[in-house]
Amino acid sequence: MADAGQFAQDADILLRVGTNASATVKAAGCFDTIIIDVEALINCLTRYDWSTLDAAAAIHASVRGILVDTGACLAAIEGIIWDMSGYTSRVEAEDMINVLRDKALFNIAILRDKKVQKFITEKGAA
Amino acid sequence: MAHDFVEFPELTNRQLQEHVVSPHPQITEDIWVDVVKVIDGDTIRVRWEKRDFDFPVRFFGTDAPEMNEGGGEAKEYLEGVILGEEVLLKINKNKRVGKYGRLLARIVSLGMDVGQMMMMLGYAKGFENRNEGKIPDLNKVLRFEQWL
Repeated sequence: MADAGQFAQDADILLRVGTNASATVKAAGCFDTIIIDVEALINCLTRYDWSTLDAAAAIHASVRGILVDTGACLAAIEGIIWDMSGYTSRVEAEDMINVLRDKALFNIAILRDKKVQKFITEKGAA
Repeated sequence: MAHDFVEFPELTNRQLQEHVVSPHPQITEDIWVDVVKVIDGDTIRVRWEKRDFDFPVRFFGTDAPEMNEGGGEAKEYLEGVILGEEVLLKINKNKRVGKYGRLLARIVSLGMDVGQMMMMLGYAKGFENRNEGKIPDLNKVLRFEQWL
């Protein structure tokens, strides 16, 4: 796997799919594409181009985690949907998705706040 | 008594059933509107293409603090998120109109329920939990006046 994402890297996503995720999800490079799509979604939903800002290393490390977390949660959901076979039951996979979705929605609600956007951007480079 | 359409543009379901005639189209289905003003954490004013005036919409199912009770933060958040934006009003057909004749709706912006976002961030409570943590009015609860 190559780390293709701007915010979330493969290690971040693998932490969130959990230990029971299938070997296919853990090994294949599915996240290389997914993370780029997911970051586009975050940028559109929050109407802010976090990817470009992060590429310019203009986001402070102390607040960057929320972007990493959001991207990784959304990418992990896609991974779980792709192959649920590693989990002990479908319910376990659905629980994983529900927890990750709630976390991602909570983060996006925060990132849509103009005051938070100002706070993150004014915090400056790492 | 004649209905005051300037103050209360929405007809209740009962008035609709009684065929009360409105000078402007009534809202009975989901519609897209532009948010022109945020009144407080749970009320906004919107503009709809089929009406030539702005009208208030109350968030369905959520309750934010009043402005004099620290509701300023909730209002600021809403302004940042939906002011000037086009949003979807999802109408509950059984409960279209609330107190003060305001339209009740779930407000959806970019696919996300704004009321739920407000609740997740603690700016608002679920409507059924609106009195949680408040000290009850003992005069009302114990009805002292009945003993006087």
